[in-house]
Amino acid sequence: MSWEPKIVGFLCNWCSYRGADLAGTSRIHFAPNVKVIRVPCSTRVEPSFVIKAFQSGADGVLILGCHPGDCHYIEGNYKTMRRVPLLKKMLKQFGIEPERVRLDWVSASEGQKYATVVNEMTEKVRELGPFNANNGEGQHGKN
Amino acid sequence: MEPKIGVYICDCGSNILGKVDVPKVVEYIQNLPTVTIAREYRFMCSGPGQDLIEQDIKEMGLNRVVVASCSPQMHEPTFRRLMQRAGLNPYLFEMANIREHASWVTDDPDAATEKARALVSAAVRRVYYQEPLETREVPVHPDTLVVGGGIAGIQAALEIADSGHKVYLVEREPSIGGHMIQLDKTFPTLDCSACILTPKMTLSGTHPFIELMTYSEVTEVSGFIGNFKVKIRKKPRYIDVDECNGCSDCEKVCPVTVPSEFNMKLGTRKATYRPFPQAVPSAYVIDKQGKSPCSVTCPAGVNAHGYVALISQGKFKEAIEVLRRTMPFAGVCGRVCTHPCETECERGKVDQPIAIRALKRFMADYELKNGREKAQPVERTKKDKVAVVGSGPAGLACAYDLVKAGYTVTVFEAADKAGGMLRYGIPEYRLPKSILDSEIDYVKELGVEIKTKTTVKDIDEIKKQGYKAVFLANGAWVSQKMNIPGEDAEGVMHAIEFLKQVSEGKKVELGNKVAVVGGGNAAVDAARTALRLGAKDVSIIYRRSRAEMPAIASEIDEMEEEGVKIRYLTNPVEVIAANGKLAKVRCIRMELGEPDASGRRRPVPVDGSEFEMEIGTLIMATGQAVNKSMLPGNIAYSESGTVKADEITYETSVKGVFAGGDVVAGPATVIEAVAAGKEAAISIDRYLQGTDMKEGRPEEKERVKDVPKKGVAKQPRATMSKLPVAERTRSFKEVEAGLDENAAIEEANRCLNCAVCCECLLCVSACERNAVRHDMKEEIVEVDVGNIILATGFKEFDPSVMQQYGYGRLPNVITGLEFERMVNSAGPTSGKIMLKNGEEPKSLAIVHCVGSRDINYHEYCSSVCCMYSLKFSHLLREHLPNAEVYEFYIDIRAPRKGFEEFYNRILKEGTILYRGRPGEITDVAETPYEQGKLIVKFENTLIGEKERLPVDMVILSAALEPHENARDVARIFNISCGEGDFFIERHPKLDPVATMTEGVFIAGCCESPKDIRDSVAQASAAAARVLALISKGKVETEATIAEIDEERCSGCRVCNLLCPYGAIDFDEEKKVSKINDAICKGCGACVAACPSAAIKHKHYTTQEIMAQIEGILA
Amino acid sequence: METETIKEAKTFVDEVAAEPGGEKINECIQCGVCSGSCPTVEWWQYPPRKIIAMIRAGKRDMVLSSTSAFNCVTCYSCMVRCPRNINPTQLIHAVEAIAEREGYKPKTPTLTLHRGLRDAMKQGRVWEFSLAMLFYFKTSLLEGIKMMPVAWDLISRGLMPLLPPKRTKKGGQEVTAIMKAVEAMQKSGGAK
Repeated sequence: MSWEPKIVGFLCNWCSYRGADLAGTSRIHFAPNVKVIRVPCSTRVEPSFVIKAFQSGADGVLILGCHPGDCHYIEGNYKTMRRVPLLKKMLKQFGIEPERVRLDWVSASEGQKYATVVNEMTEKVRELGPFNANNGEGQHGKN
Repeated sequence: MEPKIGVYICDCGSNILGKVDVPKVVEYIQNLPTVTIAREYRFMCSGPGQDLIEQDIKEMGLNRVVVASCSPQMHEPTFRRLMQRAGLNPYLFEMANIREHASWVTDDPDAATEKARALVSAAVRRVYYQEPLETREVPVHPDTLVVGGGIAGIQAALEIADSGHKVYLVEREPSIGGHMIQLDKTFPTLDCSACILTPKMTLSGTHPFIELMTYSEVTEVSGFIGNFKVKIRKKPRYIDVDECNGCSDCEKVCPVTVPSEFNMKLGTRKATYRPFPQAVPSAYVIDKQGKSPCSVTCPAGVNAHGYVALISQGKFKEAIEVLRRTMPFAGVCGRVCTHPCETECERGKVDQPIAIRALKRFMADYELKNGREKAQPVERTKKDKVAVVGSGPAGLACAYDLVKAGYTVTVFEAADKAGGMLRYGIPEYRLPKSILDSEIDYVKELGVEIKTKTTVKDIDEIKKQGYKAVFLANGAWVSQKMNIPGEDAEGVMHAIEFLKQVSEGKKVELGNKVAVVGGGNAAVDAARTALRLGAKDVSIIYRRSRAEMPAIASEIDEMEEEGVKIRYLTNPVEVIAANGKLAKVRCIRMELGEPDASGRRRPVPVDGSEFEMEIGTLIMATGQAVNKSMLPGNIAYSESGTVKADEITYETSVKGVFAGGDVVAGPATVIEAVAAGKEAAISIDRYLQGTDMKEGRPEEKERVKDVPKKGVAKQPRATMSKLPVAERTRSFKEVEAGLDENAAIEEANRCLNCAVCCECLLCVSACERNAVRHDMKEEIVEVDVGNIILATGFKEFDPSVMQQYGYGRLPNVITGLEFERMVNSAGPTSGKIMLKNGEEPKSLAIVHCVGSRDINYHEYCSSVCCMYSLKFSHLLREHLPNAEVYEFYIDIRAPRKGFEEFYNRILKEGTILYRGRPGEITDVAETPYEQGKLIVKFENTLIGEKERLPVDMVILSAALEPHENARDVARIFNISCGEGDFFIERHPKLDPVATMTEGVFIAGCCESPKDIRDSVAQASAAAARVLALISKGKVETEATIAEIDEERCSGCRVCNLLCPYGAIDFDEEKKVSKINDAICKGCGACVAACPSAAIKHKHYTTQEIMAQIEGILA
Repeated sequence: METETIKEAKTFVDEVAAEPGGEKINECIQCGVCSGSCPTVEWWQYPPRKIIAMIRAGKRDMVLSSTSAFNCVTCYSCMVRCPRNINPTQLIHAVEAIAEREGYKPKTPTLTLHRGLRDAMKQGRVWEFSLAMLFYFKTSLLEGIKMMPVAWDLISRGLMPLLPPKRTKKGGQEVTAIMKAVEAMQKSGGAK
């Protein structure tokens, strides 16, 4: 079987998870590569979760939250907005392509958007190829 | 205890089983080391399914359960309850979503199965680390907040109140009733809307358990279900609701008329108004949007809007009374003021500003023409005496305010007559002395004593005479010299002395050629005066250009008309005398360089450009200074040589001695002097009463910001006639003529009424119950409630954006709500359907789906328009039996009880329905018959023919949309907006009244467009939910919250500021942070940020999530 | 027979949906705004909404042989107002493209004009005088004679030169090459 990207998705309970549910109830079909972990708010996602995901075999990590201004916990997504870019900078220094991590906003009524984001993310990670922590070439090379 | 996990994978009929190979997944899961049992079942959430789990728990001693089925949003509560029934803690349970997230979103069975396997493994690993969690119970506050007083809000409030629980009903308009009270008849029964609503409204207003807060808005909500703290802003009505008996006396006298929002701007209302006769509460309200820009800008705070509004209604006597509340100089300022108010006038943004100064003059002239009544002397209520030095505008204004406050005031004037610069500086042709005298007399009639020919400068002397406070308003009378050689020659005069002598009637010798040096008002006055005294050739020498001349522009224009030449960029450098008499002046050309301190560009001499002028008289008007010899010796001066006075209190360096006007500011305007005098009066009053002089000063005034100007037709500003030039230069007759009565009224009617209420205060005296209180302020009230119901309703789509339908551009194109008001017998046309020209329409078109079902505006269907459009044709048949009525639709939606029957009835009545959405509505006629009509261009799709249908009137059935601030409201209540900004319900099928935020419910059109019956049903449902919670009396706190391990906490306090709810405090003694478990909502912000990993997120611990990640990727 | 019509319907609708511009044909709710807005619809054999309905009913021959599509002047009034954003303009042009590909030549003056314009464009510039003569010659000489005063007005003011225009200096050859390529593409079955 040819390699399929494995992507872990952290979806916030109030907006993006419901958006994903809506995609399901609307029977929209999209790439099956993102497997979802539900968190109360996107701000719960620690950088260590992302590292753990890659360590455990993920090729990509998708973090979805409510649109800025609409967070159920008022400001959670603003904190996520600060953390993720810093994390991506750090990943780059480790030799991990920052595009393997994506932060986006999906509201509870955006089933179609969820599908689109998943498809885009899957294709992006497919382009980047499998995640290989031991390639030893730092940020310059892939396998 | 070692976890014993039971895993239950649901087929969900064929929903999951259809794609996912459930047995395969069961097999894989069964083989995981921590799994005791894994089973498949058809419908896990069903009774037998749940029993299966319960049985396993009992028989196998399971202590952890995983259910793989649909979304936890669907059934997590169901299974948690099952856990409790089976004796297990409900938090030892995990769900894997293999339906919405797996079987339903792919058509590849292998992919679906693999995804299901991964998700279930993840759940198994996570549940292993889950711990039992406890919740606390907190009491539910029995009061409820209902936001919105339309039919839904009223219904919900009544139902809750009828059960004996208190409701706060908050409505932002002055009356409840929403849109329903605007309607005429309701479909399908054709009940009169007001008839069925007003009993409920009255009941809401009088119900013992409803606290009605109208004209109020919610500004802040904090807390959680059962325990909300709500801040409500009560806007000031300016009328006491309890005192007002709705007699309408205030309305009758109010001079301001504006379009009526309730009548969709088809009619008008006054600034003090009641939205409609059956309003609840029935009290009036005054619409005050702040302060009009003219009043705010006037340095003296004159209420210009007030007197302009009264003049517009012909109430000239009342108008001048408004001015006299502030100052006595109607005629004076009406002639000489620099009118900063006109610069700020919002009408200026449409065409030209209102001629405020001219109107002020008009009312003074009118009063004089018809005989001014003598003013009544003011009663002395204060024992103290105040001395004012100087009877110019500053001194007189100060005396005026103090005498009205009850003080004994004496004005000391060194000159022969009172008036200061007004008499001796401003020439007769600008300000006739008779006008000035009349207004000074008014001040004297009030009780001010003016002692002329009396010089005062020794403060101690004054105090010995019993004066407790002194106001110095000496002015600035010393002409500044130019300091050029020869300045003292005969024939060189200074403008101020020159003008004073002329005012005193003394003869002044002038040469034939006169030159005036300077560019301010004194120079212009001197030049024009010289002309009138017979000088043949008068010119102005000014060192800068026209743009920098500080004199009033209209004065400069008139001066040029009279033949005075202006030499710009010229400066005298030497006076050349012959036999001691002035013969020539040597001047030099200037050019403009960098700006100086005043912001004007500094003039720089051009080398070698000198020339000579033969001049008979040279008048210097190059600045004025304060005469220190006329002032007390111990007073302090500022750097520029004027008296130093406090910016706010106007007190000088000597206690009890105040100063204002030119003596402090240097040469300035009349109105600024008046303003200074008034401020000093306040200071003196407070000084003598012993109260704080600075408190509350300067007064903050809120200038109204957005003034609507839509639909205002341009109209030129009134102009005054002037004397012909030839006549002007021969005498000192007044140049400008003033407006006549009709011109004044017409000009005053151009006023836009920016702040709406002009504060003329006629309503105050008209009200017999003394219910009008213009000093009311907004009030912020805080209430505690347990639950909130939002019923904020909708607004009508504005079809102006659909250019092709001509709304706002073509006359006689109206919207649905406008028609409702028109056809309503209590409406602005008393139920008469009429065109803009007053005639009855003979043919009408009703266009469905305007703004609805349209990707360009709103994709949704507004649900009620088909029915109300059909209702309109019925009403038209009643009101205009001979009219032709056509309806243009795409589909007829008549889904509910009685609706299809109603449709049938309308068809029987003969309304013609055309299936075809019009492409456009135009007034461009192609045949003589079409002239003057509105032509509907459409395709009759049922026969496939394009047609043009001329009609007299078009009614656009406009969409229902959420209010503009729906998103802001959602944010306040912590709920979300979805499609088109309507509030999102918890579940579209199973929970249409709850939101994702516990304790906040939605009802009515704010959730989605619906008719009255459905709004009432939804409101009742929301009320029932609230009552259920109140009856239960308690709710559980969140279990999945964060907790800080004190041992691990390093006291870094990074978490403290991260909490959106402020739930984290710092314990100063233990030097660790602590989370308040009643406030924490469990978002995880602090958990993720803690550098010591000292915060545990219950049910979402790092350990659990890491395990879940491993499981997904295993 | 009925089953065949349904099948025909399905294929023709799919065909139009596959043609560039016709993608949204299935979303039309038949409201009629397009017909109601069209300024030239008086000259259409069937108004645009009806064309869409006929396509969905599988009336292939009727639609492709109708003169409707060729009367679209691409004013975009329908596109701006369509409540489903279907872009009827592009859809009608898609029908036109199919019709032309299949060799339908309905009798309508605008078709003559189209063809004439296109031939003229091969030069990179339009020789209006010749085009107008050709147009009236092919359609109605009487109408052409009636237009003489207008023609004279244009000629005398120098707005319609009698002589053929010089070939476009800039890119003249490129234009010819583009036109040839377009023709070749159309012959081979559409711009895909």
